[in-house]
Amino acid sequence: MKFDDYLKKTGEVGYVVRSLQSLAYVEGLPGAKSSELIIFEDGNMGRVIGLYEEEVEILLLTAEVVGVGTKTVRVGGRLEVGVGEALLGKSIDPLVRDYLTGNPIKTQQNRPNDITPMGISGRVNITKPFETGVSWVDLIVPLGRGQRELVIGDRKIGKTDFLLQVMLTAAKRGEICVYAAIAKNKQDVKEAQEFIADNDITKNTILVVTTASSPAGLIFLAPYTAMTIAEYFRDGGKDVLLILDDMTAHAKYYREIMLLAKHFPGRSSYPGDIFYVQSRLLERAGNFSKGSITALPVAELIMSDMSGYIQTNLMAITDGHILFDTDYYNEGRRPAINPFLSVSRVGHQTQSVLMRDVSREATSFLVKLSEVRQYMHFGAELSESTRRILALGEQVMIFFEQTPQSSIPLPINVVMFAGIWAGLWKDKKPSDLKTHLANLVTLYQSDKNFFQLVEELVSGKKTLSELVNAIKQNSEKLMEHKQ
Amino acid sequence: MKDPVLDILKTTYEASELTRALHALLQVGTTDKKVLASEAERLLSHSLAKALIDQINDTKDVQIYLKTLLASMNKLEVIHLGLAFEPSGDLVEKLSLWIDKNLGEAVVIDFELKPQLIGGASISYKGRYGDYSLSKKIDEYLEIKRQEKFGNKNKIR
Repeated sequence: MKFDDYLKKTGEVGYVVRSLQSLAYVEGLPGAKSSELIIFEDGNMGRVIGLYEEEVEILLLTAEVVGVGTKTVRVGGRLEVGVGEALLGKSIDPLVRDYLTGNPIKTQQNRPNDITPMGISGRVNITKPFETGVSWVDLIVPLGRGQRELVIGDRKIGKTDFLLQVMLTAAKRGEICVYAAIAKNKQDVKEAQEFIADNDITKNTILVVTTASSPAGLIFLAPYTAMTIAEYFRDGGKDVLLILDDMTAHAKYYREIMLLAKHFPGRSSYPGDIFYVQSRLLERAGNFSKGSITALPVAELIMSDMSGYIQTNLMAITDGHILFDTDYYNEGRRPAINPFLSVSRVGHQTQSVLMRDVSREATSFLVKLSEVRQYMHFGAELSESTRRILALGEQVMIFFEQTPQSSIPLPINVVMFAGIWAGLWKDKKPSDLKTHLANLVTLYQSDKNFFQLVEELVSGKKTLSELVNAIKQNSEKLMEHKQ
Repeated sequence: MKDPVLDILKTTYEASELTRALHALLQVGTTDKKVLASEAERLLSHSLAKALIDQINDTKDVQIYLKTLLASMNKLEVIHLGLAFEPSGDLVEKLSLWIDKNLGEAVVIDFELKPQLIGGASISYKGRYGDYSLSKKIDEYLEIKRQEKFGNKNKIR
């Protein structure tokens, strides 16, 4: 429908009396409702964010300047975005137009961008694990399908690389991946697009893109559009991975809009409803009877300060967090995940009995290792058992190291960890261990016989000890695949 | 009580002309009525200038009067009238009288030329919009005829 059609349909018109950056104030439109979609006579769109006695306050969804005197009309409903299979492989803006050309994309159906999260009746328990392909997460901070896990850390610490790794693993499993780039650099967006194209996962991926130069209104809408698209595929019976990168930028732009609108500021000048705005979005993710949406919102820390307002809000909303530690990053660890400060409230219940035992053993070993390393600083002579722990610890840390482009399937991950535990690579050089582990992963993905061997080793085992014994019995078969 | 100067105003063009003149007169900064009168004659049309000069001569504090009048300009309601032709002065007068009589408040008319209406008018006032044009009547008539002949098939959207 066009502007004139809405004019005839609603019988109401408004005229812009004031125009600020991102906002317009309109006189008229007596029937305007909160969050209603508004169309300007030049085709631009806006959304009602405030209703006053004389004026209607509208958030502009365009970078163009809206002139005073421009006619406006209300649509009679909320903003709806197009969703459908046509979006797969595309990079779009929050109004479902091609990100580069601005041309609208034809889709199967339209859905409201902002809805009330589904109640408890449509939800089911999270029972299936969500494999990320990253050893630290799959073994120590496991995720469940339908979980919302916050990815948090300072800037330029490897969060986006981690998210792309997870997206690679999920897409190769056949899951739909929706990545919302919220006020990102154009260079970062380009790199993400190239990663997706190079790894041939375009057909499973949708990018909802806003850059730092996009209008504040569109930046605010980006995660909502991404969630709406994810819901469409969920309702089609699919499992969806939704990445919101990043929610602290989303909060900052919402703050900018509300301060410009002279709404009363709260803590740190954020509007009082910032928790509501972000929680109602993230509550739309979860595990449902039809499908699941696993959400990975991202939060940026300033100088590793975890007590920030938005950061603590997001930690409260989500089902755990994966912390990227600056000190670990500076030490050269990749990914720089801190296992002691990372939490997964839901993931452990989805693990198999074996995985739970492996996770427990690995975590307690890491704690012991950390204590021993601190003891080393005193310079006292080390006992034999301490030296053994340190040697094993060095091998375990090599095991957990992973390049940004790699994704390691869980079975081979567990077997390799158990192999280190069994002492298969005892007294080997770190470089040899690295090479052999990398070869084993490649072999698992390419050799059917080796794949079968690994699956047989893992199946039916209930504890790490059982797996270690099985590996010791098959050590020759495993070690013959060194090169 | 409505200011006599506002009574003279019929269109938004005249209203913006008067607003500009009031700003200029306030900028002059003098209370000398003769100086203000000559400026008003220079800036405004004859009838508006005359009405304003009469008020200036009757008032004690000119500066306050001008500021009050300027504030009243901001409270003027606007009725937007879309016509398929450019209205004559006579029509503008008649419409203005009708509005004064029926709406009873300070209202000015914003005329918009819309040949696509063919005839009649489109009116918007205080956020309400009404299409009373001939083109709408023609569309409705054609739609009825289309329905009679084809039913719901071939409906042109």
